[in-house]
Amino acid sequence: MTLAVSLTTGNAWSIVIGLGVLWVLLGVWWGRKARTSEGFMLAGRNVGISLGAATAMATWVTSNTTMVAPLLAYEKGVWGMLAYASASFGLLLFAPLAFRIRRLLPEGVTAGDFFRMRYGRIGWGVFLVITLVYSITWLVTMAIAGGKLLEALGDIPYAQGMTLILVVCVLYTLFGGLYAVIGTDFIQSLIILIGIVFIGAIVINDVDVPKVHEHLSREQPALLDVLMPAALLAIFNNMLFGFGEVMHNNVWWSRAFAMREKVAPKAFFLSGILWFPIPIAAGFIALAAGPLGVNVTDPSKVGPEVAEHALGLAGLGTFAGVIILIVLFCSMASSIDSLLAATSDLLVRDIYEGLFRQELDPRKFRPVAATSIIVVSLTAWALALSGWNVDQVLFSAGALVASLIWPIIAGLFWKRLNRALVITGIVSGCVVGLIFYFKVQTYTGALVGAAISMMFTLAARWIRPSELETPAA
Amino acid sequence: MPGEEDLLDFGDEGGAVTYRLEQAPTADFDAPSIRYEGPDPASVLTGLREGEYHFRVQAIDADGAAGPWSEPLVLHVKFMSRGHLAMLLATGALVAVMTIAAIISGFVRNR
Repeated sequence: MTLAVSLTTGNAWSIVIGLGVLWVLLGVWWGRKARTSEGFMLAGRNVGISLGAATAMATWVTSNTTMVAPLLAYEKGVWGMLAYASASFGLLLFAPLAFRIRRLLPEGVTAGDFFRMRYGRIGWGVFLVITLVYSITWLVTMAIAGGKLLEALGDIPYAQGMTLILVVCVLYTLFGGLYAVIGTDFIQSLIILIGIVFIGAIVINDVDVPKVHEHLSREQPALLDVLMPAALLAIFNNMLFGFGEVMHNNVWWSRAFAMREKVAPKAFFLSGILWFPIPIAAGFIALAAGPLGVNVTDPSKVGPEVAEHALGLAGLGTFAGVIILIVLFCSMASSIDSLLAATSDLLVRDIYEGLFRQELDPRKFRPVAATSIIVVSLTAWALALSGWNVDQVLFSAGALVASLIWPIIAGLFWKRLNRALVITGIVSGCVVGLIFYFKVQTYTGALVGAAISMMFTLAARWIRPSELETPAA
Repeated sequence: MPGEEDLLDFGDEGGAVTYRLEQAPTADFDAPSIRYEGPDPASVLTGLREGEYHFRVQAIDADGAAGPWSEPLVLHVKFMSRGHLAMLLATGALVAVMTIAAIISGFVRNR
């Protein structure tokens, strides 16, 4: 089924621009507090439990959750649904890490500070390459998903829709920094939760579970098989991919630094619990495609297609498109803004100040931060013009981020390590993981990358370890 | 096909308003089932078990007149070898368990 255009182009533009103006106004309002670099980058290090949990949850509900989770369910069935949901373990496990991060780096600003301190300039450089590649990749996938969504729902040409979504997020991040990001994330998380529960309830009302089971058993039996190879691999691969994404990325580190010390672990744990059912609900929607008579022609759009169909059956007409667009736009905006802010922080702190050794005058901070945000967004925009296959782009980065899991754990908790061996493990994990991704099976990249890096890191504890650097008292 | 998806693109038949896609377990289409019937010129297949599947498609015009069946398409679904799968799953389980254990033990010792 080609996704029916249920919104007029004018309505789609109006919704996105209307929401965009709201986010920008809120960004300007909240941005008044961002007078210092610490205010702009870390929201004054004073974020509480409600905002903290909401921003972590909303950031993790990306366009990938609402569009790739249904795709995984449609391709890999029940295990695929659970595989995507396993990414919540990354947030749950980041709770104890956030506790340690705040203790080890009470004045930390970015994840790069940790790598520079524990693994020296080479380890820090390797980390920067990986995290910048991954962050841009993540940003590109969301811009692509946004462009495709607006094209499908509102007949807005892909390049225009993708540009519109990026411009809106860039504007309010520019004005308000992390204050604006966290504030809008709170509102967006509420919209996402209410929207997904509403759509899920409509789908459940239209389709009974025994009918879905009967249809799958007849037409797509492998989706119910306990031993479907790709699905089983996807569970471990996605779980490790999720660990790597959360544990290394400055999106999460900046939140850990921004939250009050005792709040951070609780907020991450709570956000993991809140996030877990979302991909399951989104995945179930995709499994109902057959029973609802939806012919899928582009699996990356299966979630919105089935949701729109079910809402249409419930008599919601054009309103169906409005709901889907608002929910998905919020899910994209809540992640795009976070990535823009966190990645530009890396450019300012680690590249401008760290690599180029520039002293950042407080008066120059905002222009430098604004330039960084614009550079990151222009790079993502240029890459997103290609309209790549979203899930392939994203999963190819799995090997890279999973290779950082063990070096982060070891760097946080262990006192002595052979740093050269750990860095060799990161590079080896990336290379071998990518080879497995391209040559063996898509869902092996993160798994193999994490395994190789783990072996090297464990060896680094015993083979000629040296004392790791700690912050000056 | 590693247990994922295949897009059957029927091509654009001028004048066709409906396409009928049939699936059968044998080449002679002795016991076919209709996999899809509708206006889309393509359909994505997922969830097929290992084995051989035969497909053919027919275009139907606005008067309801059905055109000839297409040349059959044979799809072989083959999964990864069980040995490789078991090795990768064991690796994944080991890494996941050790990662969780390392974080919990590190947290407990550094509280």
